[in-house]
Amino acid sequence: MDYIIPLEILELILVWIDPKHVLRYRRVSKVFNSFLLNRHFARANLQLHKSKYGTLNRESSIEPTDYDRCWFVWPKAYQEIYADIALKTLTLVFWGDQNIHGTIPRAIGRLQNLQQLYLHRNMLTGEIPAEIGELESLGTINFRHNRLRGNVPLIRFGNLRNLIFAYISAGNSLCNVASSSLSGVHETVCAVFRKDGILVEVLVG
Amino acid sequence: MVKITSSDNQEFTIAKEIANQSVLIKNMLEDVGEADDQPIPLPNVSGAILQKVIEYATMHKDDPPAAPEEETRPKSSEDIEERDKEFMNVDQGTLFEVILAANYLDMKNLLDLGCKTVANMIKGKSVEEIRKTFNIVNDFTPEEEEQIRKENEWCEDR
Repeated sequence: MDYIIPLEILELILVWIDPKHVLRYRRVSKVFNSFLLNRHFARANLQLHKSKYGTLNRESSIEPTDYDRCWFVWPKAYQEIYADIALKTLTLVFWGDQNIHGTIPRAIGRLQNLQQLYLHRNMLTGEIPAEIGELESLGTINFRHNRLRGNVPLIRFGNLRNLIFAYISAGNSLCNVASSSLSGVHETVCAVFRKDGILVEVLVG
Repeated sequence: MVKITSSDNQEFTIAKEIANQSVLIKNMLEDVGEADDQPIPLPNVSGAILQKVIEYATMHKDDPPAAPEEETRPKSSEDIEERDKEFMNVDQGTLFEVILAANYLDMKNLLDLGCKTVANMIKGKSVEEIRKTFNIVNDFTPEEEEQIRKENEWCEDR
């Protein structure tokens, strides 16, 4: 005899599966795909497994946990909720040379305490999200030697009053790093910003 | 004592504190009042499953109410009492029927236990095995499925 398990009970079952693995079941059917991508499920799932994330009130991190790595590949709702639960206390993220795959999540804008963000020498693809420009405390960013492409959201960078060093270009295929006159320069090593957020110097190397 | 009847007309007489573990029955009892000794019909639950549910309720009748700190305690589906594990050691059909009954009767703890048990059972299973377990038809086109497979490369079976 076959039993039809109603959707609300399927959700109550799947919520117990670790957030690292549960999203593989998106492929089961359209109904599974839609509830697994749903914000409500993402919140319930991430909250339930909270105790596994390691220190929840980290101020700095020099090595990403398995969940931190998932953050770069999870769907949007998971990225946003995980940022709120496990990342938003961070002031220093030093995750260079960690073989991180994925893209820089737009939810990065939720890490309002972030002062230093090092993601150099990973396998990150896609663009640098404009949400970086919402991180008002940011002093240093380093995205060098990834596989990033597209435009650097420079105008938004102008909002970053504390940004001193932005190492973004080398090893990526970015354009418009400094200004339109410099577009196409791919080996920019370092962009120096004034305290008031104005880009003053681009060192080309 | 409270009388209840199953979908196949089996009648059970149980103590009120056991009946009250079902929010559905509790509310019904409050509605009809003490005097009424008509059995409560439960048309969604068979006698065999009702027997099982009563067994669970009897086993847990002296449980203290959940403490507030329960909410902050680390939670895991592995966190199941030994006697409950024993109780849930049944075939998959019975397990699903108990879950459906717990949902209908509004018995949160039993529903929780059932869902955790199924979660432990499906942990690590492939997409195909999940479809089989829950009797679900894959309604994606091959292109759609391939698209999700691509997005999910990071968590697909290796």
